Amino acid sequence: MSCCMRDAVTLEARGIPTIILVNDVFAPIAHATAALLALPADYVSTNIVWLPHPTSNLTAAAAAMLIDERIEGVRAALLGLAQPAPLRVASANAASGGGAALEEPVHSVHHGGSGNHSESESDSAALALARGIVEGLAESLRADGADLVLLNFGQGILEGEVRIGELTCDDGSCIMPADALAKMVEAMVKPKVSSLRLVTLREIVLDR
Amino acid sequence: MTFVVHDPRGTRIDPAPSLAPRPGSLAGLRLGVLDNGKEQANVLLGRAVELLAGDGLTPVFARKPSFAHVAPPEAIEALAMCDIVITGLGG
Repeated sequence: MSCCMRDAVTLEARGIPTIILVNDVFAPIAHATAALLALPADYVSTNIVWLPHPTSNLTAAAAAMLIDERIEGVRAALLGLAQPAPLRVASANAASGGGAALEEPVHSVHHGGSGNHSESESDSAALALARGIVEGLAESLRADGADLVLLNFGQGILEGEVRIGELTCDDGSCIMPADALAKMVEAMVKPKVSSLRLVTLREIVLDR
Repeated sequence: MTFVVHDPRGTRIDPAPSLAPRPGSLAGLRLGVLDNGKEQANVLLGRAVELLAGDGLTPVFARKPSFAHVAPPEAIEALAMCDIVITGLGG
């Protein structure tokens, strides 16, 4: 997914408008990649044509029909006429109960003698917020047989695991390396958690 | 002697990349088609090409050896002659 976007950015830099067909379950990864690559805020909604996931099990006729239904969207995107759509992270926030919290950035605050207690509360809030923010990304990973679990936030460091289960691809290449995912998570969470300094993700291969 | 040390970490593009200006019309343009090799990508992109042919677009095809990596330079060069590109399948 992110490689498609990187290819598109490479071609755009060569002066060639480029649009991408993407399965909709990967919208969180598209947004995270766009943030990581510092693309314009409306890049995803104006340059990606979404397809309902999964597409791999469709007959050729059914796959063709998906394009038939979206060809006007393809034309509009190629011409730069696609209308920006709302950021697609709602399901992720709803799943974590963190939708309202997304509106308010979280800052780690120190309050003198009671600093430890306040910091702990603030860190817990930041962890909960971060979990809500990345839930959509985790959902995308689960579609490929992995998972992303955030475990701890403290002293500006967000720690988590990339849990590798039964992957949908034979060679594991459908899951980005943990360090690349960590950069994505950082790009997603940092705007809402100003105290975030570092994201560390450990890759865990689950028993199969 | 001066040494330049490059940081091997990360790939964040900074400053923000600029996007190419969009064409006013599709008629007569060369349409690059970058197939990343994912299952059904060729079918989906192929159907788009079929439908867009009616707009007067001429397709130029390129295929990535692996969807898990960025397109190799030869694929990018093959598409550099195009006016617009469609790629997929992200997912």
